[in-house]
Amino acid sequence: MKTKILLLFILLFWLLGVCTVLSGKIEEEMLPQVVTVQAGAQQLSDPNSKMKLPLGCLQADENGMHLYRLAEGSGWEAGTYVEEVGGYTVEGDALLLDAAGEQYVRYTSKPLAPGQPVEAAEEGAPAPDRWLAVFPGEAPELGPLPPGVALEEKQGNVVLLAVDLGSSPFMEGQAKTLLPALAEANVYSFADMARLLENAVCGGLLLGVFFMGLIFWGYAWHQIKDPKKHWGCMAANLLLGGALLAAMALILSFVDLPSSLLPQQYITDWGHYRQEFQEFFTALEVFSGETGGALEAVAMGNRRGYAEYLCSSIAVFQVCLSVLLLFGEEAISDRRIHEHSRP
Amino acid sequence: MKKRSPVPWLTRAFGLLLAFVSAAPFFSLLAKSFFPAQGGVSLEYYYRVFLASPQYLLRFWKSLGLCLGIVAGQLLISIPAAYGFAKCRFPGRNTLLFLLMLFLVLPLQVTLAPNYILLDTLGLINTYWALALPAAFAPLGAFLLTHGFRDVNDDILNAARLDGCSLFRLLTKILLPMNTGIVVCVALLSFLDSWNMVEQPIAYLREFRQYPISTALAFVPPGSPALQLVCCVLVAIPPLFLFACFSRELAEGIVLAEVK
Repeated sequence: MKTKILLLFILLFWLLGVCTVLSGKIEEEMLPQVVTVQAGAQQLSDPNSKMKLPLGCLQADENGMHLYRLAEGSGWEAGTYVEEVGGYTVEGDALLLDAAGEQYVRYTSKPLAPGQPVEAAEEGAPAPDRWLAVFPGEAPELGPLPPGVALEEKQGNVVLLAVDLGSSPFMEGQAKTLLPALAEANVYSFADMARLLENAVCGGLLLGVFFMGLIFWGYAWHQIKDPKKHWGCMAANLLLGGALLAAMALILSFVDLPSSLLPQQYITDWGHYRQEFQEFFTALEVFSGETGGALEAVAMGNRRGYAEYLCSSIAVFQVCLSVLLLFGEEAISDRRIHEHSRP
Repeated sequence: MKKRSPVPWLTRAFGLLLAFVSAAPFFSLLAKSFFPAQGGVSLEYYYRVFLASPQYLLRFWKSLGLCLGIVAGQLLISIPAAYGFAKCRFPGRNTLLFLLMLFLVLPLQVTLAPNYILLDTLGLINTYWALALPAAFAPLGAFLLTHGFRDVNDDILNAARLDGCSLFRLLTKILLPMNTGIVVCVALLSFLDSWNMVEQPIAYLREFRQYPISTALAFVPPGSPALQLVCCVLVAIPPLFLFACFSRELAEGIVLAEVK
């Protein structure tokens, strides 16, 4: 009984270790990335001068428009987070407010909520990208496109744009500011979707490592009836459990998820991924023929299939490997016991 | 027909009442962590503590490491000290033992200020040594082990010495195996004492990031009580583990020390 309790707590502590390793990465990946602007004085000579911000700083969600500024937390809430600001007035294409010198959120990779921790984005080198805009109804005329943006395909409610110098990280708000005709659409970056799919190998490995840990623990639980006979195997499994944690940390260091495609709150919000994947890949299906957009759509679809296959096959392979390892361990242990018991 | 005395029923009722009063807060804590104020069952706060950010778990592991260090230090110090008090004759031994017992009954708040001055002189304030050193030198371990070692017959030790047994082997092969219960008890009490420390980190550490989880728990954002409850569940894991695995040794150790 006591050994079983010990084993149960070993599993609990191992799971806590897994959570520790995972949570570090989850926090890093889930932090919304924001581009900020500093409020500037409109008329420095005027004592009643107001600070001016671009109108685009207002972030829209289902509860209305919000203006956020960066603040520093302490204690458990140490780090940079956003707080909502009120008391501003809209004048033309600008926001006027009293506070000065603070950093206000201009663009964000994900919708924000007051008190949410954020990370000030470091802009990477711009790279060629494709943007897929999915409108709720028929796609409107886009009008004159800004330099570096070209229309590739337009079918029904879907528009595919080629962008020479796409922003890195991709932010939907930034794309909509560049091309106001996209205001009503959900805009996806092909580069971000490809980046998400590239993580399939790591996803499969992580899944496999996790199940390997559970299988080793299950084996130890099975051997518990005779701990003295199998103490070597149990000690080896304990060491393997520690090694699996280290392996998990190593695999996680290769994970790099695009912030624009992650859910707002929980990384485990599978419904969000399903909805995004469905919208993105269903939109791609409207393109047909031999045009660049259609070919790109087929390539992306294939990439998705390949990623899913790779992820599941790696995980299954690891599970099989762990079962084989246990069989090997069992055989070696039995052989040793047999040799010792020989007269 | 013999009439049964009502006393056993009364004692049973009191036992049940005591068990209920002791266990109710824990079960209420567990239930409320799954059922926050609004809505039904929610794992949101478990997600926030265990997956959304590593700050809670990292603090948990750091505190666990600190406590294991304190236990190791307590055993390293109290075992030789107890041997000295129990088996060596030197002038002032009984006075020193009396002083040890006196320090045992002193409230923590009394020793906090002198310890602070001493640690400040040593330049250890705002380091983990400020928590580990006073806890490792706590007199409880030496006191319990002294009583345990005293009960071991001197003839056994003399025979071992005649066979060429060194002091180290004497301790590890004879005295400690004969007092396993007390050693486990000392380790457990020392661990629980350091796991639950609150005043010392506030007094000796200046930065919040250094606080062990027992102290930092009080600073969990008050706006989310369910979050605080989940943190409490996390903090309860090591004591529950120790109780589940070593409850017998704990009880035996205390009884043995008292009997001896």
